[in-house]
Amino acid sequence: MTGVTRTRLLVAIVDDEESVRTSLRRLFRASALDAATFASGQEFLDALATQVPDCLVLDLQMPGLSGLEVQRRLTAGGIPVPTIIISADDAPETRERCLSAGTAAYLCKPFDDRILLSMIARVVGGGGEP
Amino acid sequence: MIALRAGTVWRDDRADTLLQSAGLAVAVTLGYYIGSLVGFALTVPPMSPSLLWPPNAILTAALLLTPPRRWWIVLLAALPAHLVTQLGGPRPTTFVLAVFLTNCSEAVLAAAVVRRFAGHGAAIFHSLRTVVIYIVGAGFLAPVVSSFLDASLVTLMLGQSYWLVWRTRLFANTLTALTLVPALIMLVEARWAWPRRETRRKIAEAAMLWLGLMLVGWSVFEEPTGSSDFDVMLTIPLAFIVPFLVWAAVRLGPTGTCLSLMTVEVLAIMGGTSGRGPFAILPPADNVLSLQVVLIVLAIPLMCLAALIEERQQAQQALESRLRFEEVLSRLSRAFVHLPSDDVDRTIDVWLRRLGEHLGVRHITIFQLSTAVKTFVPTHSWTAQPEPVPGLEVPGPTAADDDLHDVPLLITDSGVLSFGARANGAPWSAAMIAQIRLVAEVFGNALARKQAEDALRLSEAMNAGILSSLRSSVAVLDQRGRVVALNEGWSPFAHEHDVACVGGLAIGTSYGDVCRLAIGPDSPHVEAALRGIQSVLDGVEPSFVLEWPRASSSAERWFEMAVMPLARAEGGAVLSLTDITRRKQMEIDAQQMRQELAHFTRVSTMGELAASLAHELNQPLAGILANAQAGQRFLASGTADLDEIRAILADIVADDRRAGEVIRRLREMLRKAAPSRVLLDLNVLIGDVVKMLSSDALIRGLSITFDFDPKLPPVAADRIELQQVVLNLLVNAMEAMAGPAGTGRIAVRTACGDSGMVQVSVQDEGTGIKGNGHIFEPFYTTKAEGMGMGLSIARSIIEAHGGRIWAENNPSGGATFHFALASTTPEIV
Repeated sequence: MTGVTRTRLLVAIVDDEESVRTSLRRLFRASALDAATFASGQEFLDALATQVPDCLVLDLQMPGLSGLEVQRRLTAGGIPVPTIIISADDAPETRERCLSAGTAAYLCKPFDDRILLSMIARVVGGGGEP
Repeated sequence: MIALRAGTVWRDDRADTLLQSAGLAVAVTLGYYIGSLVGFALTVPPMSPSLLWPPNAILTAALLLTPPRRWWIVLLAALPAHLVTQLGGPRPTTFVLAVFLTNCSEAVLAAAVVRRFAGHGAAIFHSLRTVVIYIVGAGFLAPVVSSFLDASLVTLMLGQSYWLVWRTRLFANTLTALTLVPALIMLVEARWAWPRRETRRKIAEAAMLWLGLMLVGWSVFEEPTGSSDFDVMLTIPLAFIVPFLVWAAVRLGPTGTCLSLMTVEVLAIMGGTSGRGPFAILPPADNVLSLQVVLIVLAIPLMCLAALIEERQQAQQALESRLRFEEVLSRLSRAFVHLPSDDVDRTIDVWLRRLGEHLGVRHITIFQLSTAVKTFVPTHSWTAQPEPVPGLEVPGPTAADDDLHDVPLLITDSGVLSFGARANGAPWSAAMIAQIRLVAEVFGNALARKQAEDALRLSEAMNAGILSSLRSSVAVLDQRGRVVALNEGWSPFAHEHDVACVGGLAIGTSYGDVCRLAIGPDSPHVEAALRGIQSVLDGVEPSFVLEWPRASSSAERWFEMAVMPLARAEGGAVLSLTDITRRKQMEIDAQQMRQELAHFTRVSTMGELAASLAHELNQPLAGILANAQAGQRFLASGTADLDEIRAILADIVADDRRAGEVIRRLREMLRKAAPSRVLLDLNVLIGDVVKMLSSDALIRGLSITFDFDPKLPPVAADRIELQQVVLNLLVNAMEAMAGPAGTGRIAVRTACGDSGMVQVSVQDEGTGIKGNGHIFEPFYTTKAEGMGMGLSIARSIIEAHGGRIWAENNPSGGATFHFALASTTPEIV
C-alpha cells in the first residue's frame, strides 16, 4: 500500500490464536476498518518496514516474543504506534506492567466489540464511534 | 553296626617296690637257714650230702616265683644263711662257698629250664605238659648236672667216694624237687588262701585224708620191723600209702597231691634216718635210698594224674561257664526282641542286675553320648549292695571310680558299657570280654532302636501339635489327591458356611470334594482351584495360591487357598485354607485412601492451574464473542454476505467445541471414580495432559516438546490416574524452571523399554534434584506453597500399576523423571 493515501484506519492484529485473528479481522471489516493480521510479534515487527499501522491490537501471551516484548521494542525503536493489549490473563499486576511499559490500553479476553472499537478510536485520536 | 573296643588295664604285676624286694630277701634267707638245719639233721654220717636237702628246693621255688630280673636278690639272700649254717664246722671255707655255687647252679638251671618251657607259678602243676617238663627239667636234668659238680667237690676236698656222694645227692635232690618245690610254690602262690576258698566239705575231706596218711605213714615208716616179718612188712604196709595218694590226686588236685607227697616223704626220711621203716633191715644209707626211689616212682605218676584231672576239670568248668553265659545271653537277646521302646529302660535295668549277679561284678554302668552336653553321661546302672545299711544311700558309680581303671570298657556307637571289678577279685579273661561284647551289642541295639522310636514319636507328636495349633484349615493330600491328614480347622469352617459337602470331609476324601467344600459347589473358582492343585500334585508348579471372595450371611468374606508340595519321594501336597477377609479389607481400605488422596491432590493441582485454565477457556470465548458481534454488525449494515455468515458460524462452533473440550478435561481430572483398567495409548494421554498445561507453559514462557515413539504398545491402566502422574511430572518440571529467564524447554519422550516395558521421560532444565532419595516421599517439598504430595502420589499410582518411577539429574543441568509400565497385548485384556 505504499504510496497510496489511506482513506480508512489500518489496525494491525498480532495473536497466535488463529480464531482470535480471524474473528477480529471480521469485526474490523464490519466496522469499516482495515486490518492486517500477524501470527507472531516477530512477523509484525518485520512488516513495520513496509507499513506502519494506525493502531496495534496485541496479544500478551504468545510463544516466542510476548506482547510485552513487542511493546518494548516499539518503544525502543521510537515507532509511535498506539497499542491495545488483549489478554486472557486478568491479573491486576499484569495490567499494571503493560500500562507502565507504554501501552495505550489493556483489555481482558473476552471483550465487547464496542469497548474495543471505542478504545481504538480514542487511541488513534480520531472522533467517536464509527 | 557296633564299633567296639575292649580295653583292660591290669594291676601292675608285682610292682618293683623296695618293700617287696626286702620281704623276698628275708623270706629266702629264713627259708634257706631253716632248710639247712633240717638238711643237716638228716645227714647220715660219714656221708657229707644230706638225705633230704631242702635249701636247694627253697631256692628253686623262690626263683620260679620271682621274675628273672630279681633272681640276684634270691641268690644273694641265700648266701648269709648258707654261710651261717656251714662255716664254723669242720669244712674249709672254700668248700662251703663252692657248695653254695653248686646249690645255686642247680636252682638256676631248674628254674631257667622250667620257666622257658613251662611258665612259672602254681600253673605249672595244673597241666600234664608242663608237669612233664617240670619233672624232666627240675626233677632230673638240674640235679643230675649239679650232682656231678657237687660230688667232684666232696671227693676232691673231703676225700669221700664220688659215686656214693653223687647218688645220695641226686636222689635226695630229685625227691625234694618233685615234692617240696611244688608244695612250696602252691602254698606261697595261694597266699594261704586255699583253705578259705574251698568248701567245708573239701577241707574236711583234706583233713581226713591227711590224718589217714599220717596214721598209715607212721605205722609204715616209724615202726621198727623185725627180720622175721620182712616179707609182709616190706611190701604190704607200703602199698597202703598208695590209695591215699591216689585219693589226693583224684579229689584234691595238684596242691593236695604235692602236700600229701611231702607228708609221706618227711615221714619216710625221718623214719629212714632213724633206722626204721620198711627197709630198716638195710644199712641206713641204703634204707633211705630205697625209700627215696619208692617215693620218686610214686610221685611222678601221681603228679601227672593230678595235673590231668585238674586239666579236665578246668576244661569242664570253662565249658559250663560258657554254656551258662550263652544261656544268659540268649535269654537277654530274647528279652529285647519286639520290646516296646517304653519298656527298654526297665528291661535294661533288670538285665544289668542279672548280668552283674551272673558275672559277679560290683557294678555295671551304661554311659550314653548326650547331644546336649557333648559328653558321656550315665543312663543305666546297677550296683551290687552287699550289706544294705538303713538310711545310707549307696552312691552310684562315677567315672572317677577307681574300679573303672581295672575293668573293660565296651564302647559302642550309642554308648559305653562299663563294668566294676569282680567281687571275688578274679581277673577278666579274654573269653569273658568277648562274651560281654555280645551283651554290649544287645544293649546298644536296644538303645539305638529306642532312640529311633522316641525320635519318630516326638516327630509325630510335633506334627500333630503343629497341625492342630494352626488357625488355617489344613489338609495333607497323598499323590493321588486323597486326604491323609486333617486338622480341626475344617469343622467350624464347614459348619459356618453351612455347605452340603459331597460325601463329607474325612480321611480319604478327594481334593475335589475339599475344593467344593472350601469354595462352594457352584463357584466359578472351583475349576481354577482344581487345576492348581493338580498341577502341584503333578509337580508342574512349585506352589499354587488362589484368593476368592465369598458371600456369607453377614458380609462378603475373602479366602485364600495355598497348596505346597509334600517333600517326599511319593509326592503329595499340603493344602491350607485361610480366611483373609481382614487382610483383604485392609488392602481395600488402603486403596481407597490412596484414591482419595490422589483425588485431593488432583483438585489441589487444578486449583494451582486456575490461571492457565482461565486462559485456555478465554481464548475460544474471545473468538466466539468477536465472531458473533462481527456477524451482528454485518447483518445490521445490510452488507451481509451469506458465505461470510456461514464462515462466522462455523468458527463459533469450532471455538465452542474447543471450550467444551477444556471443560471436559477439567471435569475428568476432578472426577472421583473407582479406578478401572483400560487399554491406553500413552502418546494420546500425554498429548491431552500437555494441552491442559499449554496455557500455563505459555504464561510461564516455557515450551514443551515431544518425542513420541509411534509404535508404542498400549498399557492396561486407569486413565485418570495415569493423567495425574503425567500432570504431576509436568507441573513439577515447570515449577522447577520458574525463574526469571522464562525461556526453558521441557522434553517429553515415550519409548519401548526392555522386556516389554513402556517408558515415559520428562526432562526439564530446572534446578535439578537436591533432596537425594526423598523426592518421592510424602510432604517432601522444596517449594514455598505446595504440599509435597505430587511425586509421592505419582509413585503410589505407578507402583499400584506394577511399574517403577525414578529420577536423575541431567549432565547439562535440570532433572529427568522416568516411569516404566508393563505393556499389554490387546488379546489378554
